[in-house]
Amino acid sequence: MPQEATISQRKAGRTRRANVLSIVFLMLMFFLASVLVTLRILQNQTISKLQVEAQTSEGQISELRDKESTLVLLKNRLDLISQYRSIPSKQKNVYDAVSSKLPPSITVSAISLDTGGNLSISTISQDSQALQSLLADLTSEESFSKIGSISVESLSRGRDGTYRISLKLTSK
Amino acid sequence: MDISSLKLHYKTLIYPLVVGVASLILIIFVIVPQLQGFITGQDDLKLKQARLNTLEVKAKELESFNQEAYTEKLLNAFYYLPVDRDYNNIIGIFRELTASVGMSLTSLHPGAGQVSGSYLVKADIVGQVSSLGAMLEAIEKSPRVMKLESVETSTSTSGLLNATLTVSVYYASPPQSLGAVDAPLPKLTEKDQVILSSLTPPSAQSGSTTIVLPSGKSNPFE
Repeated sequence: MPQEATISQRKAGRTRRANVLSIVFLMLMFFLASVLVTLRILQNQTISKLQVEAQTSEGQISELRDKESTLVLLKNRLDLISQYRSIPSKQKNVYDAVSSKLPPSITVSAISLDTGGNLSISTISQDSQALQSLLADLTSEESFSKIGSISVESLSRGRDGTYRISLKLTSK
Repeated sequence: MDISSLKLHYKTLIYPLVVGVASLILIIFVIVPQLQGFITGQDDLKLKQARLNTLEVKAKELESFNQEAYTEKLLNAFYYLPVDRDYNNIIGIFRELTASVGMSLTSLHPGAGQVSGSYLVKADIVGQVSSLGAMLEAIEKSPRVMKLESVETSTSTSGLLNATLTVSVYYASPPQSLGAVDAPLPKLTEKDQVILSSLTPPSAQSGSTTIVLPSGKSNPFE
């Protein structure tokens, strides 16, 4: 009898422990669920608050629409102007390369600059030294930084001692 | 075996089993969905916070933006690069450019453009040979965005240079959208400020202002 009583006491103790642990676990689950639900409610409240604030800011931006349009248009124009200005003019570069080398004793009779930046120039001079100097300058290393090639199209000397020279320069 | 004896027999198992089932139901129907919702909600919260920050910054920038100071600059920019061909101004601009270098404009022929957003203008000018370089320079720095395409010259018996300049004159349509609410505000960079300062107002471009006064009596019946 005492042995049976001991066994039943042990069983009862085990059952009690199991019951207590089960209740603790269930309570923990309830606590976790309630924490999560509370967090969700708080989160939704924060999101709603942010939405309201965003709507207020949107309203402010809508009221300042004129300012935004001015800035967008200005930026658009400036970007385009910058883009067009960044393209160097081949024609101008070639013309500058030649005109800077022309001595005063050489007279230009005709100039032709095409869309590809190729320049044809006809000059007249009585000074052969000036012509030599022009050709030397145009064929220098410095000139070839701006021009691609140079060719003498024609060279003639009249009875009056006037030299006529036609040059063709291609842009780089 | 009746229920009470069965209850006594499985007393140790029944309670944890019921609690386990209840916990499982709680996990499946409450904890997991709430946890998933919370995680996605956090992402949503971050996005909304970022959007709000962008909107607040944009609203502050717009409030501090001095529209009046930039309206005149915008008009200058539109003068440099108009939205359409604007033939009226181009005639005046060419006349001023040629006059500024001591040449004279004899005719101007606007034509079709090689690419969209530009058109060709053929300008016949007369002047000294030495002024041609200055004229080409003036075109490059003109108050309209234009680019020299070709030059044809000949010298007349009087020694004056007759030149035909072909110039591409540019224009550009305004942007389709003038900014969405969420779109960040465009920033004017240092480069933009440099360009802005180089855009002289149309009124300052003509060297002298001509005031036309009425001639004769204001009231002929007096």
